[in-house]
Amino acid sequence: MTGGILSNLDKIDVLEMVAENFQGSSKGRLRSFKTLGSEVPLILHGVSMGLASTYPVETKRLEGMARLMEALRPETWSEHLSFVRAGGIEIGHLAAPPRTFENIQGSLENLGRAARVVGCRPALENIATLVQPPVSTMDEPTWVGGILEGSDCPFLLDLHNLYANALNIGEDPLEYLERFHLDRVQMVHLSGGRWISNPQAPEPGARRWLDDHLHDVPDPVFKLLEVVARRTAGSLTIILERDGNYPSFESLLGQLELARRAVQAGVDHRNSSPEMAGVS
Amino acid sequence: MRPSRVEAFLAKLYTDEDFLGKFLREPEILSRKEGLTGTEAKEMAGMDLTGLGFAADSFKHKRRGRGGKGRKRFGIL
Ligand SMILES: [Fe+2]
Repeated sequence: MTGGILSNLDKIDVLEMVAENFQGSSKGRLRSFKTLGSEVPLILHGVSMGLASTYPVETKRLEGMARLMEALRPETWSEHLSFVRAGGIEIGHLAAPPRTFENIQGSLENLGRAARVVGCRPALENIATLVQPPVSTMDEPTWVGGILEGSDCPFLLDLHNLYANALNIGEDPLEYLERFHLDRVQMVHLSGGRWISNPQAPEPGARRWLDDHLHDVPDPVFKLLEVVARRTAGSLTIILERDGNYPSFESLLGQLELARRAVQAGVDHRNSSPEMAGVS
Repeated sequence: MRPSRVEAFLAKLYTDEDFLGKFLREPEILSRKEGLTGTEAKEMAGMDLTGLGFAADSFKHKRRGRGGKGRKRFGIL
């Protein structure tokens, strides 16, 4: 798969690198990725800072990101709106915190420190959650919007995460999309997932849509992308995420092509009705 | 900023199967025992228990997995 990426750099405009994968990397490895960055723009993507928390982000994690930014010179960096540890316990993955004013306040403090230590603000990504965080006082679009506005960070909108969350709370994904701050979107993630069920669940027959990054991008997600392209005035960076169960590389490039078409359809629509994008 | 007890409580629910079992049997009592307020404990007891089961399973699976090594991300500008 890595070979497929490297031999198709002419068809790929940008690479997103998971920052944690560089932990303990040799200087030689870092240099080779920096060289790669001269051929194709790189974005560093953090998955373990836990910025959306009332717990302070660990300084060593911010310093690690700052060192990587210096070594690889990517275009920018991004992280998730999630907590990954609390009370000395590592969850091991991205979790949705209770959506409260206190959490927004804690997230803004973490983001302020992150920007100071790393040297620039991260793009912030919405996460998928299989459970609605209890003790919340607001819904996801309001909470995400509060953090984006307070931090002035760009929005990395993961459309498959949004799609999964909408399905799992019984909302129409297109209507759910409209409730987010689409004017702040600069980057988009696309991926796939599947239905999961649990016969032992308290609610018989219950199922949830799992964001597993192991399947192709579902058609409705391309429709969401078209709407985003219609609503945003600036350019969008679109990243396809795939973590396994790889199809042929041509098939992955085919999904990028579908993404290009969706963006083009959105831009065409925006240009034919400028008031939709708030352009006068 | 005072760290949220609920975040810590959720982290324990997502990672400790015995604790999750106790919670599913007596959610409000356990929440109070762990220092949550009466209102928080009530909300915990009324939470999306089906989603909680799915989430705890998914986190367990992810912790056993290989982390981010297999991730491939690339795109268009
Ligand atoms: Fe994503």
